[in-house]
Amino acid sequence: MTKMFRVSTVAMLLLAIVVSFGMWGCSREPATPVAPEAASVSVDRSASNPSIRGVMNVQDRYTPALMADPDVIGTATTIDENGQPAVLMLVTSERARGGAPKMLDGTPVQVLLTDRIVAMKSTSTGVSHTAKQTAPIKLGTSGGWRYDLANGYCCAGTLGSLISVGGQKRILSNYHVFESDIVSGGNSRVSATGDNIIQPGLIDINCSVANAQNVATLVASRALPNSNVDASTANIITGMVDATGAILEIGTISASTVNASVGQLVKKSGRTTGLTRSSVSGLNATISVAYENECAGGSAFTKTYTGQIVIANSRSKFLAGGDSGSLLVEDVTTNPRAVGLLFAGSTTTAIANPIGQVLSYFGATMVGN
Amino acid sequence: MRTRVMTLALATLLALAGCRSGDPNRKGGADMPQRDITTVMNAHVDALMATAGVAGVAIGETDDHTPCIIIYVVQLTDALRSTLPTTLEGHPVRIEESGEFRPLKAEAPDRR
Repeated sequence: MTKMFRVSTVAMLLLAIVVSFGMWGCSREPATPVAPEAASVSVDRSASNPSIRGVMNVQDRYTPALMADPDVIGTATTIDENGQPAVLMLVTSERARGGAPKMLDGTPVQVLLTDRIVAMKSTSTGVSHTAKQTAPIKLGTSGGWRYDLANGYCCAGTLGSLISVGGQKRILSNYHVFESDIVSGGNSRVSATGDNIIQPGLIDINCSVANAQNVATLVASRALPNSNVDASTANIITGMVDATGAILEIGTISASTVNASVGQLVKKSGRTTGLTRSSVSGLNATISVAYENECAGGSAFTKTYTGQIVIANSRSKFLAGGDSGSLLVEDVTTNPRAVGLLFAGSTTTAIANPIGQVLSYFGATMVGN
Repeated sequence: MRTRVMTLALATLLALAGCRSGDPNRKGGADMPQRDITTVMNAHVDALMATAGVAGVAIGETDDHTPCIIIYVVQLTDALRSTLPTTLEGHPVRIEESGEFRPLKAEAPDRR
């Protein structure tokens, strides 16, 4: 009996150790799956192959249900690594990949994690966000402070959108695009109310202001460093700006706004990267941003913002230098609602002020439908 | 009988300990959250932002859409990783190497 206890005790301890290691192992990253060696099976890969037609029927039958998940963006019929016809699911999240069925009516399912598929509209339409436009100009275009030239450099950003302040239409952009020259330093002047705002920005006309057109006049508000928005506005010059507030490759927007939410699909139209799309990856962000005191100038201050919107910006594909001032809107086709004012970022991350905070700061509303 | 019960208990404890030590999110000692994630982030944000190399803090989601606290760092070194929490009051923490956040104005040399 004692011996039995001893054997049982040892066995259970061994079992515990095995289970323990097993669970430890299962909580780590799973080993990279190894695809079985491709079978050298010759398959007729056309739709005339009855087995492929059969899989296409399965695909057609299940596609509506599969695509009811917003992270499933497409299906197809494919040939798997064993040379057998299979249903292919295109998904945009690990969640959707994990939830994908292994088989559909006996047909194997392959899952491909991919970026969201977007129309390359800016390429196909050839819309320029840097060229001098014929007035009245559309927004989402290159622009800036007329005198933004100092220390051997010129600077520019994006004339992002149109807002209304007490019935007066103003271009909305960033403080650091319109009025961050706060020392006489390299150009013997500081930004002031009444200064001209030009299109395109100096950077797109070889720093020669004679090639630009005046489209608005600055209303200096010195939002930074004290407020929580990197925003500035300029009264439009009659006839120089599309009064509907239309934005290049986006069109008119809604007069109402919407709060950001994690996973929300968004887009923007800006000077450097044109029309681009991404999704909100973070909310209520606290971030610090360092500012210069003029174009290519010295350090002015470091501002710590709270309550900001974070957007995925892998390899600066969504937002890059020169896109500051762009309006962040929801990614819908018709009259999208404004979400934020883009102003900062890095090669992985873009940051926007919530549009509600911006409009409150100016006592403004969006110009839109 | 008592020996068998104790052995079973020990086995269970060992098994649980094994799972716990393998979960990277539990490195900082995860408990069930007592406070909502915004309250927790606000309570810790000043200390996190005061950490050298931290560029920002936000609320986001893990890959499985669980709300988490994101810490953005300029450069993710082993030393910095070891100073940052992996959970905060039971909420998961994700660390992202973002680089510095800069105003995205463009500038070019004056070649006139």
